[in-house]
Amino acid sequence: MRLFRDLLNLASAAAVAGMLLWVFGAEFANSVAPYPFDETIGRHLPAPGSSLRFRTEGWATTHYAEHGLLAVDVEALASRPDTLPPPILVGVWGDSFVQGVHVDDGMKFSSQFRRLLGDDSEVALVAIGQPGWDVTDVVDLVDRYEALYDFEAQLLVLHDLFDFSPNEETFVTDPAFRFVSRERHPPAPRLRSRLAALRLDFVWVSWERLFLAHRNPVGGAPLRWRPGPVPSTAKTWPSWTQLEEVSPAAWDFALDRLVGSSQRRWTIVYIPRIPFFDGGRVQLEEPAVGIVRRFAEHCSARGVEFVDLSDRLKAFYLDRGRSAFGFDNGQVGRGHLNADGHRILAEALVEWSREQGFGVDD
Amino acid sequence: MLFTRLEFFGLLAFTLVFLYRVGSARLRKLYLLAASYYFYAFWDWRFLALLMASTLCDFGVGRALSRCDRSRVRRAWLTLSLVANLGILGFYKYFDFFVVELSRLTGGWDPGSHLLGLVLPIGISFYTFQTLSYTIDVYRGRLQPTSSFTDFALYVAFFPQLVAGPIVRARELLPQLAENRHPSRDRLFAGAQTFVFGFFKKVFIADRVAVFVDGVFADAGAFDAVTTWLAVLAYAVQIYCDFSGYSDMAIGTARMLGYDFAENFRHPYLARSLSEFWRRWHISLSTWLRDYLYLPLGGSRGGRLFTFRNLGITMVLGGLWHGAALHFMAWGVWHGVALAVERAVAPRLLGGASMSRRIPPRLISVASWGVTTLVVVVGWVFFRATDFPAAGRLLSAMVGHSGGGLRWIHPFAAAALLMVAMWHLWWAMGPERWRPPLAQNWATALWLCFLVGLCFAYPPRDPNPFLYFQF
Repeated sequence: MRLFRDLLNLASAAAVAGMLLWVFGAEFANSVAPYPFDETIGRHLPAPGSSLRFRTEGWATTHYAEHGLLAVDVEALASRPDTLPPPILVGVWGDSFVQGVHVDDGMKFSSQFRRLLGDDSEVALVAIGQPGWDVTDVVDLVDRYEALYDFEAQLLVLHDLFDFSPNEETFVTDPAFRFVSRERHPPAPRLRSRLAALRLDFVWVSWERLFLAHRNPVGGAPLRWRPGPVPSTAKTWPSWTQLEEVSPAAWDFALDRLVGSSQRRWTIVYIPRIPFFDGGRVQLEEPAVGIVRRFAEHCSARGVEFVDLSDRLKAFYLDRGRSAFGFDNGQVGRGHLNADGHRILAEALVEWSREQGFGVDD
Repeated sequence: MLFTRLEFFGLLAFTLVFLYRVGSARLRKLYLLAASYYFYAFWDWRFLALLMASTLCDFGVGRALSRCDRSRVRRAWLTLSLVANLGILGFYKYFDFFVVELSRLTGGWDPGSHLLGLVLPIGISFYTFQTLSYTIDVYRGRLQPTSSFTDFALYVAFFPQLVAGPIVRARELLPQLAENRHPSRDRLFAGAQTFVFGFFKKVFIADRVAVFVDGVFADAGAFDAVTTWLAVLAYAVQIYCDFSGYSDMAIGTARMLGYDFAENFRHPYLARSLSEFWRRWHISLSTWLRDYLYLPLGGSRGGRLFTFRNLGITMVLGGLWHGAALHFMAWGVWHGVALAVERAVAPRLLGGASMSRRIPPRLISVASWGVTTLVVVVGWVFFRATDFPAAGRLLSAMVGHSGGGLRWIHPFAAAALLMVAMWHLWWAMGPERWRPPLAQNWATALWLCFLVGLCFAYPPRDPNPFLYFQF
């Protein structure tokens, strides 16, 4: 009887605590976006009409349209007055930097681009990016999105050169350079959709941390019962020197695949991490500036334009004393582009549009 | 095995069921010993040999001391224990440090080929101090040596306190082990409550604050004075929540299993003097250093200079206990000097009748708290910085000379600072104890469920191992 009373107390307390967490989570927790399988694109993508509230790094909400595109881009195209000619469409490809869940829709680079040019601009950007996508995903998917939208040009946003170096998962070297098409399945998409429908976001976060990928209560290594030691399985990124050794041939292969994936002209927009911290010293040059310059030459040789944001990021830091990367609730100077970073990207793309002669009025 | 891993919860649940179901005291203790060795081996089974060697050595020395009355022979047995234990600790923890520093001092030779690159066995600093306290207490005649090897082995390896303390004295735990304690419902709930508070402090506060602290300390000098001050204060919060969180989890786990450990932290940031701080911070270590180092050196029984020397030696060795690095030593020197200054200046400054007439006692109290907190917080710069140049850059930034000048006010770090400050303040004003039995208090149960929920629903991005594991 005593045990029953204790358990009843605990269960009821846990239920009320769950409700409090639910209320608390409505503002402070990341929400869970359902990821159904998109038959047209052949990938699991955020459901049309869904939104993602992101609180881990930055404080923003992103709304999605069909095929994982940003609702704010699609709605801008749909609401364009009939009196205006259809805009020149530019696809902007990339990973989480392009998806930009860290800033609100209105602050994303594509929105800021529209604001800079005005509603009647003759050019519009469509951001196509999901976390973890790399150049192999872009090559794999570009024709599917081109079947939906008549892009005039394609842009690929890079924040390092690792995409163009073999990773032995999607870009393998043995026996020869090869791209391996592979979707990174979102974990438990059905459960995710159900919890999203019930607005039980915090349950999803707990579940994801606790059980998916054999995570522990505070994250970390897979579950094991055998005594140690356990060899480290931490993924190590190649050093700049290794990158330089393997890179030229790999760059050429990947660039050829990229160029061959679309009839449109490709431009690579490179966003280096500037300022860069080096043991407390603020560096305004990337350590691998020489490698990047050589990569740009390889791009040029293959007809791929290379837009480097180094000078803009440097000027922004010197002028404002702020970094275009990171958020107060994440890590300032590291991580993803903040609203300033998105504006710098938007300004660079406006200038690029003008250089392309995409009918941008001065 | 970390207290925050699922494997630990599995081990704990199994252990509780076993202890509840099995009536035989001997079987229960043998099981606890096996579970403790498994807990240790989970990290690396090869280092179990060191733990067992230390156990065998001190059990043997304890038995030998009990059979011997001749002081010279007794001293020889004690020396054997000291050399064996401190030898192992020194070899694993300090060998490379001394080689590097020797090469730096003598100059001109490359220490690289002489370095051993040994892995520091986890918990070695803690269990070495535990076994030493047993031998010394037996030698001094303050403790009857145990005749039960199981009890002694369990005292050394008891998993709640094995890898990061608290440093439990033999005279606290051995009698409990001899008593043949049994877990009870009330102990289970009280222990769970303490555990949950520790879990919350570690997972929800310390690990989240670490993101900010690590960022600023990694790039010391890139941030402006406000950011650097906030980071240093946040580190004070992080290390408190991390280590006291671990201690709470250890104390809670032991209580669930039927054993009692003394508290290891008593709201240290309420201290109004450094000596009071050390009576509130990592109490098991500071009392160990007091009883087995400071007092044997002579304590404060000699003149003032003699006392300062003893304080200095104790704090420097205390600093080195935390890690084989000069910045830990500097932290010890900082505290040693500050304690000496406090002893020399405070009585004259605050004790004079004219002073107490002119300044209200409450103001003196607040000022003392402010100075103490400032000294402690600045001391954390030496403790946390990776080396002297980094500490220098941080201190420069704190006084407004930084190369970068980036501003970063981390909202959670600021909130955590406020939360810990309010917690201390509430404790200063509130009752001495607040531990209502869980099941009898629905509000407490709700509060604990909410805290656990927060830890799971808002996990840190990058979980950190416990800070004191590295010591």
